[in-house]
Amino acid sequence: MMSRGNRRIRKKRIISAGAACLSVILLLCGCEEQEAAKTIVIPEVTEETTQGIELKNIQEYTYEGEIMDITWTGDTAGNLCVIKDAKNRGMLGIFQKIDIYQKAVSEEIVFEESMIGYVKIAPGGKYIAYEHPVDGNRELILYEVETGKKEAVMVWNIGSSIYTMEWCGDGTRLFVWTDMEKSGENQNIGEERIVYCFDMEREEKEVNQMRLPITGRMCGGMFPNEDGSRVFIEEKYYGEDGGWGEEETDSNYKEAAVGNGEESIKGRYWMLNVETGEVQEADVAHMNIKVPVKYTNLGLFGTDGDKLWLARELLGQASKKRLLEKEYEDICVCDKGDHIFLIEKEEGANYFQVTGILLEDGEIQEYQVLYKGIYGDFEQPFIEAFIGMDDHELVLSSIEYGEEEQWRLKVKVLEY
Amino acid sequence: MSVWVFLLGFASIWAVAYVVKTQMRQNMEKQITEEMEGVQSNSELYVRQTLMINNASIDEEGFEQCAYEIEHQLKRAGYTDIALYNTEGDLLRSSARERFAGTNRREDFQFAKRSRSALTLCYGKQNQCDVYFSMPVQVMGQQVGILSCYQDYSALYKREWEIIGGMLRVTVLAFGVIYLAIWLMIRRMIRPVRQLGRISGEISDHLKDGQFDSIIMEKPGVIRRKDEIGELSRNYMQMVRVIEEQFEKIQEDRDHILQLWNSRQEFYNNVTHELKTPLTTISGYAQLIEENGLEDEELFYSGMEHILQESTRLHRMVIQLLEMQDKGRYTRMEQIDAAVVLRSVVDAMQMKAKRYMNRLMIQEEPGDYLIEGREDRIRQVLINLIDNAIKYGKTGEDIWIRLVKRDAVVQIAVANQGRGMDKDELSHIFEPFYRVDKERSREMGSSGLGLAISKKIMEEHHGTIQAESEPGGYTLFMVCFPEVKEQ
Repeated sequence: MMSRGNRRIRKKRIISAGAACLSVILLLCGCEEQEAAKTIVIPEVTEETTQGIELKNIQEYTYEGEIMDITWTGDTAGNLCVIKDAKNRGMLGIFQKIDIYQKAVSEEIVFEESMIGYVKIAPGGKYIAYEHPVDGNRELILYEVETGKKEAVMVWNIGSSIYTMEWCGDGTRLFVWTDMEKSGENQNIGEERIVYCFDMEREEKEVNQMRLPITGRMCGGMFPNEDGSRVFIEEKYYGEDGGWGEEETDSNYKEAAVGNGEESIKGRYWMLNVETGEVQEADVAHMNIKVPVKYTNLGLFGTDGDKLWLARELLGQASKKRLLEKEYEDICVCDKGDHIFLIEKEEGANYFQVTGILLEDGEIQEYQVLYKGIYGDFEQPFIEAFIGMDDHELVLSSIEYGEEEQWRLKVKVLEY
Repeated sequence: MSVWVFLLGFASIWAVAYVVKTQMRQNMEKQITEEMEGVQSNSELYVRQTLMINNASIDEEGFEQCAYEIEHQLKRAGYTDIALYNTEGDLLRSSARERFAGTNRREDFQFAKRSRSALTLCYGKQNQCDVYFSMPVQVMGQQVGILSCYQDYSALYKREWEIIGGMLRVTVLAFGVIYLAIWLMIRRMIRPVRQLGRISGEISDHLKDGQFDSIIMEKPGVIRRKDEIGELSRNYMQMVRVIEEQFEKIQEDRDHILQLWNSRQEFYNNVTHELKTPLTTISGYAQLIEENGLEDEELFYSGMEHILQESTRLHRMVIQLLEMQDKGRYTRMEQIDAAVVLRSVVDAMQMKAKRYMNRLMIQEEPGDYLIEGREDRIRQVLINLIDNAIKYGKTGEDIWIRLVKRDAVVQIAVANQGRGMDKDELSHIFEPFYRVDKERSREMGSSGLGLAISKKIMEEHHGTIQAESEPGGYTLFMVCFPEVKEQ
């Protein structure tokens, strides 16, 4: 039998349970998602007067044909210079100057001799350097576009080759790095390598030849400055067997260093004084700048992964400074070192953007997105960029292989 | 209490869910706002570069001229649906006219017309979240038009709800486990208190009936617990047991008192009745003698005889009553031979037995029958028993008297054949003034106090008196004395 107290407690419990259920139902009913609309006003941003790179114009041009080299003229505005492979005419090259505003070829030069190996148009489009086979040998020809005058500055056996050649920023001097004499019966120079400098504005083209000792490393890169008075040389080791495609790793460096009795040195870097022919080793090895990008009046710009460094005083007490840390596809630095352009790709997307960075005395002043574009419908989109000689244009080029089984060059010129 | 814990828990879950939902929605709106800020800067960039690429003037006219190219460029850049308007709000181009049909009514568009960028979030059922963003298009410092675009954020919104749902499920599960644990803990704590409450309730319900048994028999399991609750329960149960014992004692005392009171009342009634009977006779004869005694000599002598008989009986009764109430009179005991006393009594009673045509047959096993007591009192007991056997026995039947000793106990049994007694009668025969056959007893001069006095005497001698009978058959009285050794 239940006592009166127990009955009271039970009654109270039933009432409480009922109240609980009712509250739960009411609350659950209130949780049902309702239709609603809400307007949010974006806060106004007071735009600061930009001191950075200002984009003035954008031009597009699509060029049909397989391009061997491309540059931007500095003398007349809006001209693109290309050399394309004229397959239908044998191994010949065709030089064309294209008015980017009119979208038309303004000038064309057809080379009678075939071009193989290196073909490089000087910045500004005034000169062309190219390899040319003749009588079982090869010649390095320097061609002046305006006059049509050409001169063979090097002749060598077909079995040998040059490592690399580069024009300086103003397009007047050509540097050739090789392990042979430029001509003669016995071209083998043995224990040294030579960097030849040819000045297009001199009667006697050859300015100097600078000899570097053989260190067991292979050629890495050659970076002449704007006027070609100095050249930064990078020697790198690409594996014990000398394979070029081998990955650059610390162990590879170490093995190479031990093999040469030069411990702790991963690469060798040289500074060449063109006027005096002096060769000095640059104090860069300890800086861990893996990929040199540009040697400018400010110093050497180089990257290590996603970090961009500026190394200065390469011959004295060298120092480096990290300018930025950012992933990008490609980077362009102007000859004076005050303009940098990054080609960035959006992760997992088909879009890219061009970011312009303004530097002043090695300090970043402005960082702004200048252009956003779409790669195109290619599996592996690739964009190459370079800065015009007068530092007013950034030229973006991408190569497509069209449905008509024909190469197509797409160029975008950003004027700033 | 558990209901309130549940309510509190549910309210907490609801509050947490509400806060999380609000926070997540705020985060989502913040994310969308940030994305729209990105859309704003990208759109301006796209418009500017489209105008430049198409060699259009950087103004309203250029914007209007290149509306198709801008739309195309923005669509390629991943915009879902777009509509382009001039600065007055007139539609120039739209990728989905139906979607932007009501743009003019939208608040974000009104803001855009006033040169402010804004977005409208439309939350619908089935986790739908549509975002309309309108912005003034500024190129090189001047407004060239208005851009309105639509983005579907349902996936993000759905993910928000999924996160809330997942969180709620986890919270509810955690709450359920915690609630269950708390409920079990509280139940464990409350159960003994509830049991004690129930027991006390039942005690109060049953107290008036004096029922403790059902409660005491039910021993709560919590008594075995070793914590404070167990100690409280044990103390409580101990208290209940003490109360029960006291209650039983009180009940016993009460019954005893009641019984005593009844016995006393009955005793007084009997005494009154027994005293009144001879007094009535005496009084009656005295009146008759007073009125006619001198004239009627026979009446006088007969009346005087009756008066004398009744007064003698009255006197004897008073003496017997005094004997019954007498205490401490027989404190001095002496060693006596029960066989000698018995033989003496039997000899004395032979005459009366003959008068009733009975024979007193004595059987005595050889041995010593020494007992301790007062001979006159023991004799009185034996006389009572033999006298009753004679008076209430059948005429002509022998009365058997047997003296034996068993296990240091001296037994004297007196048996006769007569009307016998049933069990009920046997249970009352030692009560004062009880008579099996009242009329016959009174006729035979019995006062009804003989057996009561005998019992009292036996108790004084630390002995016992027992009776056995068969209705219509034999009746046996047996007295037992503890044997004593000869000193």
